Amino acid sequence: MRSRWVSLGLSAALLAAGPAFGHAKLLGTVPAADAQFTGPPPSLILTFNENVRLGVLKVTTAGHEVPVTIDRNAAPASTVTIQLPRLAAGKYDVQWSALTASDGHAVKGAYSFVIR
Amino acid sequence: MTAIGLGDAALVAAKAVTYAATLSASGAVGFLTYCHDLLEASHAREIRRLIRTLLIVSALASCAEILATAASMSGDMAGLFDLGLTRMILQAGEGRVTLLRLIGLGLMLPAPAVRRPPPWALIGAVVAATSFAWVGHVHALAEPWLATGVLVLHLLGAAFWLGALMPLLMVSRGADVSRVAATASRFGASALVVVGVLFAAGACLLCLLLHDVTELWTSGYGRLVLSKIVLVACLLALAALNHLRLTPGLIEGDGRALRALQKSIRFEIALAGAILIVTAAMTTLAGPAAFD
Repeated sequence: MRSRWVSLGLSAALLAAGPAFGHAKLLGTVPAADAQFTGPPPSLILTFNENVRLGVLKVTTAGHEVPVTIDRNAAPASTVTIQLPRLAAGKYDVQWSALTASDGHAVKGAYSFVIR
Repeated sequence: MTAIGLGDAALVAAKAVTYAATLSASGAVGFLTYCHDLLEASHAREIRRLIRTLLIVSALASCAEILATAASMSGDMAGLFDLGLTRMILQAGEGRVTLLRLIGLGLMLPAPAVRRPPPWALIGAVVAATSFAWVGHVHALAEPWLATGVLVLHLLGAAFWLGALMPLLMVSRGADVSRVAATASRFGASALVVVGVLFAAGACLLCLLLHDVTELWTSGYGRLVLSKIVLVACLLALAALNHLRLTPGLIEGDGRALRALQKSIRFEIALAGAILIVTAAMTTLAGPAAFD
């Protein structure tokens, strides 16, 4: 009888161990997706609907990757800012992926902008 | 849906194998529990060996899923070797869920060594099978606890059904047709209720995740859901054939019914595999429009 209660308790504890909520969605970026403007932006800003940890950010232009540094140990945040080196005119493709802070679900996306 | 890369394909494959091995192991432990008195010793040994193999495959595939997630996030296979990204994933929800699943698999470890699985092996089966419910699309809904509860029922039903297919195929190769009939009959009696709950839970999840029935053909996620519905309908048709015609034929000692049952179960296993691949794609490559 006691082992049955232990089993039930263990079962409840294990089932309760994992609940997590959330599914991050990118709300907007600076520069905006498909924007065209003059003058290089100093940074990229990604805004999500909930806290995330940015895992990957790749900025490419004409087949070359622009060196950017992201901090994978940064605290989760709904707005992530990444400093950029001085960018020349051209079309830039941004690929990003992040983990939702609450449930660790991976989300990713891509967008582009043009510096005239 | 965004363009699918090699990392995404690897993640879908790893997830599908994790689903198949985990749900089948969990269901097979349950099968041993409720059918152990009907099984020939040789078949029981075969099923225990199957469980041992599935436990190992599930553990390996769960770990592979973490690496494949890194590859998917990275956008190329170099992500497989990105230790920093892997560490991030492990520290996040997928890591906790994987740990929960591994605990469940560990609790099932005694099952292959004894005639009847001990109670904690059944707990392990439940924990492992339901581990998939603790991360994913349902948690973005307005009523996440309702959706999670429904998903738990859906997963337990899937484990019960999928986990019985290989054991039933093994049992159907036995010489004692009456024993095969008794086992199929005992499974079928429970399956009526379980499949009903599985189907109802699936329909409930659809209502929660989709805004409109037109999404079934207008969105990428909806089209995957529609594919799954079609495959499940085929699986249900086979299950109905087994229960209404083949099992009664077996009870009457009809040898043709036995051969037909074996063929039907093989088709069910193939369909189940396709369903799990589609499910892995649904949970990896797309999201419901409800979140837009």
